[in-house]
Amino acid sequence: MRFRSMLRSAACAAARIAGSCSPAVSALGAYSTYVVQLLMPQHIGASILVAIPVAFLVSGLAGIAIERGIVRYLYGRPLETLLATFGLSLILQQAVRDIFSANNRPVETPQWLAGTLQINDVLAITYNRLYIIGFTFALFLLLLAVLKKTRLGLEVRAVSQNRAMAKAMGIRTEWVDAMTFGLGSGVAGIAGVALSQLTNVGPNLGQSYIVDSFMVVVFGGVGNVWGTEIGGNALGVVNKLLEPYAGAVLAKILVLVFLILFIQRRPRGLFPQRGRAAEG
Amino acid sequence: MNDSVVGNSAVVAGNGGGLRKAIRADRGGTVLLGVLLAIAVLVPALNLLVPADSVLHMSGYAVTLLGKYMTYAMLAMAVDLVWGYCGILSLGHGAFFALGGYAIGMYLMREIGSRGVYGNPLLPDFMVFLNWTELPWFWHGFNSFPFALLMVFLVPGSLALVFGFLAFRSRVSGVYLSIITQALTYALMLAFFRNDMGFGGNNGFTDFKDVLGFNLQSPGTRMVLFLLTAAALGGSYSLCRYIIDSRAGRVIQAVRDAESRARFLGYRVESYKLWMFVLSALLAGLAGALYVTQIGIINPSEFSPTNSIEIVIWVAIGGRGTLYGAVVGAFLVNYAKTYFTAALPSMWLYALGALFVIVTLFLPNGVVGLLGARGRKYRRATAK
Repeated sequence: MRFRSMLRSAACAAARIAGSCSPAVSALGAYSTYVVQLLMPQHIGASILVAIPVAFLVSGLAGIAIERGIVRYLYGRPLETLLATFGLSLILQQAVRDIFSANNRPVETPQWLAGTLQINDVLAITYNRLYIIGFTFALFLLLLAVLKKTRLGLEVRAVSQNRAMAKAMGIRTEWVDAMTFGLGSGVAGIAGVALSQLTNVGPNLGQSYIVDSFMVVVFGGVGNVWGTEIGGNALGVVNKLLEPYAGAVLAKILVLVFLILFIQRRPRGLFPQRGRAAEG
Repeated sequence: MNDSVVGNSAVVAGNGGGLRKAIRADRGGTVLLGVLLAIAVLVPALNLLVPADSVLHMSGYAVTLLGKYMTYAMLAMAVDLVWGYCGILSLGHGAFFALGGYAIGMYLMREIGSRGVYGNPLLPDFMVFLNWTELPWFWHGFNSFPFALLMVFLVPGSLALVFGFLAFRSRVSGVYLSIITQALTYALMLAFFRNDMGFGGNNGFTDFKDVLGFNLQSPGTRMVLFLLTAAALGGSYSLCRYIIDSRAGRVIQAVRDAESRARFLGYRVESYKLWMFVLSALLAGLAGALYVTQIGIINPSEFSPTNSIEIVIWVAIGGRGTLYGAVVGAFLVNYAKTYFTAALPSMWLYALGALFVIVTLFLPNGVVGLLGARGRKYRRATAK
């Protein structure tokens, strides 16, 4: 869960619109993994490595299509964006159900990801979780690098801070919007690949995470990769720490109540955007 | 019912020629109340007086279905009141609806008495099943109907009061507010799914026998409940319309359109929003109570975030910021749902999703807005 929320919120941050991270996009990533495995049954070990770029491309292209087709007409109307993407995820969910059936699809874990690391008699960690944590961190650094070091990242930040000025400086804002959305969706798709290693791949995949990932964004602040990374980690760890004492459900409730109280003190998250852009 | 409405609107419309002015000022509302009145006369006649083998006979199933739609319409109106007029997009209104339903459900459970499967005169069946020996403290008092009715309003109302107070005081708005309302209903859903909460776990409450001594299965009782629902829908419409047309209503709309400006003009923006939010929760709670009495079941899935989102869909499709649009939307979408889920089950989600995308993109004013635009065009054309 923790991993998932972190990644998804990173995706949300990149896309800068909370509503844009529809869970259906991650489901696309997970199903891409499944299809890749079907296509290369002899090479399950390599399939996961192939699945990552495939999932990125599939989800990214879907994201761009969504942006061009729907979201771009709704910029500046975040509530409508939220609603339209809900409608869209209903359609995607039903499409997945019709194509792949409503049952969960099995995704095999490759040999080199299986097994557990026995630290002592009590503590054992499965390798796939370790890999996923490492992979998340790498992806996070990569995303950070893209946003901070590349031309595209510069333009994305410029557009999100001051759209009119960026446009006046000759940045193709429409193109940047589409790319941002594609990037965010692509990352959500990669999250789907990782998720396929942790849980069952079914049409409702992601639905149970939607609130989690929104919470992470609220906690960390919209439009901030660091905030979502730290927010995702903190919430995930607190949730896990509470579980032994309070039980899984109560722990989640406590975290939610805490967040509702937290938002009192910091209505714009842990790391709010500052300056004029924050008021927009 | 109808008289009081006209009275209310007439006050708003001014002194002279009250009725005509009121009708002209609120055409949609007049149509809505007229239709409700017609339903309240026709449905009992068609259901109870027309013999069952006649073509015109209305089955008990159809009556319950229509009653269900009307409770949904009330719920949609409650959402429209805060979303359309205050700009608060609540994705958690299902929670207030479900809480109202649970409150009346507790009364109905106590009313079963020793007629349950286990025949325990005090404890509802699910508690016996869980080997509980005494009634939890929060179940006391629910054997009395007036107390339960009070709770139908008090529980959702006070939740909205506390939640709204915290949220509006710290100026949480927009998408953030939507998300925490969603988290609220999600948290409640998780809580109500737990068996140890004492609300029947994932089975919730069902198998109700009677209300105030009247058998819930008898056509007479069902008809009275139906009429009560129609009256509640009409009554809450008039109440909402009255408030929206009042001075306070104007301030609310000012807050929606320019919150900072309203604040700097000296209005207490937070309290206006808070009271509207509480009123809306009260309406949702009442709708929930009427829903549960007619449908005969309440379980935690009513709290699920998707349910609350669906309510918003009804309002968006009907046309927000009109009140009667919400009613139209609730009826249209739910009728379509009843039809599609029976005829073409796999098509339903496509239809709903597509409808939602299309409405947000092309029909910001919903179906009602479309009709209004048509009407204006028609009138302009005939005037020439």
